[in-house]
Amino acid sequence: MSREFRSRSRVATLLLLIVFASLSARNTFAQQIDAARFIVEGMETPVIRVIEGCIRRIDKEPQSYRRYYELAATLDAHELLAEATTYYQKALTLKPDHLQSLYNCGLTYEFLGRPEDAKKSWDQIISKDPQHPQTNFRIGEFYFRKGALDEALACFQIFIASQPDSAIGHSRIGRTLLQLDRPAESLVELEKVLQMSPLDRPTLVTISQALLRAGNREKAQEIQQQLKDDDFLSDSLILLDPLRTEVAIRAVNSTSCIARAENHEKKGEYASALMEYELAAAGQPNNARIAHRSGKVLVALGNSASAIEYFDRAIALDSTFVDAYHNRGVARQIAGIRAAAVADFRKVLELEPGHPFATEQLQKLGEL
Amino acid sequence: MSANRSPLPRLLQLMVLSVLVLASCQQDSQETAQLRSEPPWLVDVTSSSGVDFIYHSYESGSRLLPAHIGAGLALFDADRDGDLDLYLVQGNDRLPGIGKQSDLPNRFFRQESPWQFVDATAESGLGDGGFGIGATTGDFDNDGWTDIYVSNYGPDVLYRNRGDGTFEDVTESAGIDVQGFSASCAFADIDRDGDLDLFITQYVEFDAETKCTSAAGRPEFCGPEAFPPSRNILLRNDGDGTFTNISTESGIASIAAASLGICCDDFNGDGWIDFYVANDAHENNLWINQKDGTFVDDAAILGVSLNLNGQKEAGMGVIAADLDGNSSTDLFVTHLDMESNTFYRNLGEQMGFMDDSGISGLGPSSMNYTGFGVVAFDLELDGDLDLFVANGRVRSGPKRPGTKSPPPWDHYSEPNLCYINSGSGRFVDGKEIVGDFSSVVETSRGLAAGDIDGDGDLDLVVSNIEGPARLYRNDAPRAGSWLRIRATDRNQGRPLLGTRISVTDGDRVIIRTISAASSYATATPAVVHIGAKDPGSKVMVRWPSGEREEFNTGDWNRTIDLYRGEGKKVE
Repeated sequence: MSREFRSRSRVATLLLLIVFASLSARNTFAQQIDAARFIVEGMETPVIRVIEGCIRRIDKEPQSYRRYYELAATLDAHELLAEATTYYQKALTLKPDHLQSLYNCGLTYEFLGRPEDAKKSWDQIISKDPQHPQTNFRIGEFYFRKGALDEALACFQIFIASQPDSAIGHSRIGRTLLQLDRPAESLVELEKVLQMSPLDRPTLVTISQALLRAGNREKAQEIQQQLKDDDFLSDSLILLDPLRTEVAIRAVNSTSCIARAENHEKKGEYASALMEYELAAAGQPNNARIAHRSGKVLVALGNSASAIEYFDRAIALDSTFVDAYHNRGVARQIAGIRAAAVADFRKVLELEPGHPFATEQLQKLGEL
Repeated sequence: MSANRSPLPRLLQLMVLSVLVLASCQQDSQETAQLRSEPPWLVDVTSSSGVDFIYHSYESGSRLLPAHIGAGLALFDADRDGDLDLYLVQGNDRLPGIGKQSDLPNRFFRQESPWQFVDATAESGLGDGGFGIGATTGDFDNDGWTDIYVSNYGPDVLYRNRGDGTFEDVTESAGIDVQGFSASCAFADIDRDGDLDLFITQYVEFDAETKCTSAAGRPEFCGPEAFPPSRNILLRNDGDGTFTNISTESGIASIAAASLGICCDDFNGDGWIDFYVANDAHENNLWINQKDGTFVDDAAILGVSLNLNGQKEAGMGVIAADLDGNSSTDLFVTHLDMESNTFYRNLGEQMGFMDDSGISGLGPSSMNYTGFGVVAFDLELDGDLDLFVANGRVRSGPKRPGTKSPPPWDHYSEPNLCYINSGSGRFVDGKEIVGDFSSVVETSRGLAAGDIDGDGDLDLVVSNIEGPARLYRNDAPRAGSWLRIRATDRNQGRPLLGTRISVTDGDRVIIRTISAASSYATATPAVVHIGAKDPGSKVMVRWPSGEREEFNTGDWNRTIDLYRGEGKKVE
């Protein structure tokens, strides 16, 4: 081997070492984060890209709490919960009073079955802002689940003080009071819920129980009969536990969810489409179109009862939504609720006279 | 309990337990205390038992729903030799989209001597090769021998016990044609005509073409909402060896609700058998017997259709038992993670039920687990019912430390739960005292309790997805005496399911109902087992026909047979 070659070889080796050292330095954070922990076989490419993007941004701004928060929220939204808490904590190391990290981290601990850790996280928020409504609601839930009802009631009351129109707030107070064997007070709260959502079946169920406990058996039986007879009663979406919704809402891009849902729908993958629409709805809860599309997918899945709930939601959000009335009519017809279906088709004609499909349906039903 | 265990350590353990339970009641009433004990109270004795069964899901990446539903089991005395035999339900390769693999049948293990089983599948004729979900037992033809009904994804099968160690498939001759996705089932005499009718829960209209993904976009098992829910089936026993499908006229088929769990008891105290059905993501049903062959769902008005927040939950397994010791039957339903299991306390006096999961200590501690099988029995014979829950996820999650399941089930496995009753319906975490039962991390489904070794305390059997069925021997220290009660009709010789037994323990009354159906897709022995610290000498019996009789218990710590019509009549 010539001297010149050896010299060149040494230079090349040196260069390689420099490049390697440089690459090693650049990869420090990526290695620390160890993306392989959460990028696993079978994961969808867009999800991987989002996570990788978060990691790259951390590389560029390693001292930014926000970058860690973004990664945590992204992992959280994709059910990588244990990993998410690690990065919420990292964000909190850099900015200990970041309320959103504290709040989200609490939710994630809750999902991981670590309610005591969740509460510790939320307690830090309360120490800074004792009236923080959402945190009080969450701590109220924590106590409620444990059966610590007086503590739960106090938290829910703080929540409702700042959110007086919250159906779920009144619902929780009403149910807590019932559990505390205070049925008369419970009824007052539950009636408020019913005013906001008159057809909510679970609330009527609880009202009937509260009436029984209050000694008004006659009225309780009246409601019980209504529960048996009335096909229009359904679960109100405004009363769903927001915990799941809150988790899903984080770091979710509703537009991309809708795009993915439409893609699934075109391919006939209705269950996947439904999941994406639900994620999209979490990001845009007042979007009647998303609720309507979810309803349509549920009809395709053969679940007309749930579909009706989604069409109800769409109509509640947009009372002039012709397609929602039409499709609810179809779903009700499938579910055997003929009179209600006819009412929907008539509403379609009222909003859009001459609507061909509604006309056809009414003719088939012998109503035209 | 084996003979070589010294009573002194047991006594010490018991004292420690008593102090801990007392302490747990005195500390912050909301905290779930944790008990500890060495040696453990439940010991895995599978390896030396001769039971070598592994449930195969045939999961190959497609994440088809039936593969994760898993399977239950039946623990019953098939040959009337006085000990319990074991029937384990197997999955199969008959799911759409799964390549042909070798057929693995359900297996029947006959117990020869305490904890010694032999595989008697071939000679018994019980090796059904369908995609098994569960089993229930009952003597449908009143010949004194316990028969077995197998629920499948696909056609169900009814086996008649010939009484000579063999069974015959009488599905067709009995007029049974149940297809679809059956889950838990229950034999019960709904019309008091002296023979057993059959309630079969049906899950969903599964379609293998429907695919689901997780939030991360990975293939995942679909939930029930991805499919239309199915309607349950009620078969009336016509008394001549055949059944008639009365699902529609009875009202049972009026609701489609993705049912998975069932238990039966007289929930409204009118002396007629009712059914409680746990539904997955749908309201639960409490079918109240109208005494004319029809049923009305009163779950909503009695407060057991939804949880305390008015939410539908993912009901899987269920038991009906007096968990708080107030002489009325409560309900306990296992659920998905983040929902908590639900304890519906019976308020009595026609006030319905109240979700007391939080106050009882059973709620928050279960939120991190997906519960399936569930049993309640008196582990340490102190007069109250303790609770045991078999867990295993239906959605992939982080691997738990110590998982024994192979991929992908290592992402679905969870430890089981044990709760010790403090005596009044408040429960404390007993996982540290039951050892193997709660430390093994697998994807569990079926769970049954029975006195396998005949020593007077109840042992456990758990079925697992892609893992061995496990047998746990009860080595708990004993706080009192025990009584095992068989209630039968001398002419028919069969256990009278639905019989309600009450005995006294000091100044309290213990009630139990004879049932072979509860838990998840699982059959339990049709006997009543009672523990008591201060046992009484009388047994009050209400037979399924509504008649009441009183018997003397005689000495405790033994099995007694009560025959209808041979006690002292009580008005």
